[in-house]
Amino acid sequence: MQFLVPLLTTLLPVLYALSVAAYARAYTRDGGALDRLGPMTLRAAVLLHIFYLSVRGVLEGHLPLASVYDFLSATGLSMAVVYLYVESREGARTTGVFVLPFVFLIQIVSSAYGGRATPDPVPLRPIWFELHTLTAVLGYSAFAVSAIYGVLFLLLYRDIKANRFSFFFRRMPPLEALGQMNIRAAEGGLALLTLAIALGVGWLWRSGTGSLTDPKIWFTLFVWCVFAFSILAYHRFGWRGPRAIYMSLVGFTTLLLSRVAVDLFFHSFHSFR
Amino acid sequence: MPSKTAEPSLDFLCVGLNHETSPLEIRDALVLSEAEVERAIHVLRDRGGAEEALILSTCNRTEVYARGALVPDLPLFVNDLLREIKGMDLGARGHRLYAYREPDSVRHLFRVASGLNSQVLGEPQIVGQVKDALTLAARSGGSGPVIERLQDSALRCAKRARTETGIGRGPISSVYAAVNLASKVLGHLGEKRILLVGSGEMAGLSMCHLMDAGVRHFTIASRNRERAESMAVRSGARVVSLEAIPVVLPGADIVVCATAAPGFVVMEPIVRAAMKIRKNRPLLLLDLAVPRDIEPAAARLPNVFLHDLDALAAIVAQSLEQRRAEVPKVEAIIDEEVRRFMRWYRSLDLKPTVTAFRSHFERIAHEELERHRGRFRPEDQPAAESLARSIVQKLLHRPTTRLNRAGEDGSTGLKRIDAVRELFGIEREEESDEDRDAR
Repeated sequence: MQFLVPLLTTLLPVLYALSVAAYARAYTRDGGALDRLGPMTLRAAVLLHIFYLSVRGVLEGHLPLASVYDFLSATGLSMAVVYLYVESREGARTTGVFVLPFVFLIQIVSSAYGGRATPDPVPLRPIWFELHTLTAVLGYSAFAVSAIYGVLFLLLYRDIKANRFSFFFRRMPPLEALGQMNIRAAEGGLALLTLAIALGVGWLWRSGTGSLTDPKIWFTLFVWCVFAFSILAYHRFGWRGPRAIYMSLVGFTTLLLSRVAVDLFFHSFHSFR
Repeated sequence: MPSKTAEPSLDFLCVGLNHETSPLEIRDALVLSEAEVERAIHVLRDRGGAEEALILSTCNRTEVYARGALVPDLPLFVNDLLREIKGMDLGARGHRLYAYREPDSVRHLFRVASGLNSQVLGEPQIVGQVKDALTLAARSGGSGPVIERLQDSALRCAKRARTETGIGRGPISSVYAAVNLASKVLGHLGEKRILLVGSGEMAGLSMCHLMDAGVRHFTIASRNRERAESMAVRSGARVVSLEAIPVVLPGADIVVCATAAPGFVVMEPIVRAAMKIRKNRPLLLLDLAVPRDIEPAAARLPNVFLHDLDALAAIVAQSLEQRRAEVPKVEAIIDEEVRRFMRWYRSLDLKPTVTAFRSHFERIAHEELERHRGRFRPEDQPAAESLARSIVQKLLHRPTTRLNRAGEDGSTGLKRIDAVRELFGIEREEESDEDRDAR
C-alpha cells in the first residue's frame, strides 16, 4: 500500500488545482453544464484526500498529524469540507474561487515538503490526544473560512455603500448571506476549539506531561476569548456588519500570529518539530 | 373562396408592424382584442385561403403569421383586413407592412419569442404573449400541424435563450433594480418588513414587484389615506400617516420612498434613532422620488444602505449592456432552432416523403436479402429478390396511394405525412444520412 502515498501526494494538488480552475470559470461565466464541474472535482479531491489520510493512518498506526505538513494537509482538507458544507447550505458557488486557492496552496506545500512514504516513528498516542489535534485542525479551518467570508463581506459592503455595482457585486451572494457564513463558521470554529482545549487539558491532566503554562495554551485561550467576545457581541450587543467582521478578523489574525510567534520565539512542548 | 391546389401549400409568411417600423399612435390603433383576432383568423382562412393562421397583437406589434394563403399579395390583404377591423388604412398613410417568407418568417417569430425583437431587450412578458396568441389561434381554428410545431419550437427557443444565455438577467427598470438590490443586500425577502412611503404609481409598482419577490409584510405611510388603503387591499398592508414614520421605521428592513413631497420626508436623525432600536440590523433605504425623500446624510450611518434613482439607473444601464453582449449567443440558438424547424418543415413536402417512405422499405428488403444470402443457392437469388420486391410493392401500394392523396386533405394531409415520417423514422434516417454526408 506504500506505493499509493507518493502517487496520492502528487495527485491531490492536481485535483485541487482543477477545482480552483473550475470554480474560477463559474465565477467569471454563467450557466452551462460546466458549472457543475467545480463541485464535482472538489468532491473528488476531498474523497481522495480522505483516502490518502486513511492510507497514511493505516501505514503509520495513528492519525497522520505528526508534522507541520501533516497539519497543513488536514487543515486544507477540513477547509474544503467546511466550504462544501457552506456551499450546499447557501448555494453560493461563486465564492469557491476565493476559498479554494488557499486549500490548493496549503496542499501543494504539504505535498512538496511533507509527503513521505516512510515517516519518522512517533510514540503511541492516546485517543484523547488524537481527538484534541483533530478538533483543533477543524476549528482553525472553520476560522480560516470565516475570515475569507469576512473579507468578502467587507469588499461587498464597501461596493454597495459606494453605489459601485461592479462585476464582483454581481457575482457575490447576498451581503447578509456572507455575514451569516462568517458568523456561522466562526461559531463552528469556536465550538471545535473549545472541545480541542478541553480534550488537550484533559490529556495533560491524565498524562502528567507538558504544562499548563505553555505559551501555546495561553495564546490559544486568548484567541478563544477574542472569538467568544465577537460572537457574544453579535448576539447580545447587536454588533452587525463591518464591526462584527473586523472583530472576527482580529481573532483570526491573532490566531495566525500566535502560531508563528510560538514556533519562532517560544519553547512549546506541543509545537511541531 | 380561393381554389386549392393538389399539394398543401408550405408557404409560411409573416406580415406585420412593430415598434421599430411604426410609431406608437399606429401601434395603439391596431392592437386587436381577442374577438378581433378570432375574426381576423376566420377572414384569413375563409377569404385568404390560409390553411393555418396566428396573430400576435400586443402594444408593440401586430403580426399575422399564415401558412398556405392563396392570395397573391398577403401584405395588401392584411392591410385591407386591418382597415376592415380597425378602420385604419395604413396604405393611405404611406405606411408599409413588413413581410417575411420562411425561413425568415420562422426566424422572426423565434427572435420575437426570445425577446430580441422587444423594445426592452430580453423582456420576459413576450413569452406569455406568444403562448396566448397560440392558444387563441387554436381556439379560432387557426392552428394546425405547422403552427403547433412552431409553437413548440418558438417556446423551446425562448426557454433555451433564457437558460443558456444571460439575455433575461439583471433588472431592466428602476423598480425592478430596487428589488434586485434589496435581494443583494438582504437575501431572501420573504420575511422582510417593508415600509412604503407614498401611495402613488411608483409606490404601487414597487409593492407589486416586492410581492412578486415573496414579500408579505407591508406598512404604507401616506398623506393620502384613502389611496393608501386601496393599495393596502392587495397586500394586506397596515396604513399609517407620514407622522408615524419614526415609530414604524425601526421595524422595517426596507424603506421605499416615492412621494411627491418637495423636501425630505425621512431625516438622518430618525434613521439614526431607528438603527439604535433595531440593534444595527441592516436597513435598506430606496429613494425613488424626485426630488429626493431621504436625507443623503443617512447613507453615512453604518449598516444603512441608501440608494436613489441615479444609482438604480446605473444598475439598469449595466444590465442592458450585459444583455446586449448576450445577443450573439441567442442568435446562435435561434439559428440552430430555425435549422431544426426548417428540416422538419421541408420534410412535409409530399414527393420526398413518398420517395423516402418507399426507399425505407426497399432498403429493409435489400438488407434482409443480404443477411440471408448464404441460405439460397446462387441460381435462386434472382427469384428471391423478385419475391422480396413484389412483397414490398404489394405492401406499399395502398399506403402510397393514400399518402399521395394527402395533398388534397390540407392540414389533415400534413398530419398524415408527419405521422408516416414519425412512424417509420424517416426523419431520423435522413438526419443520419445528412450526418454521414457531412462527415
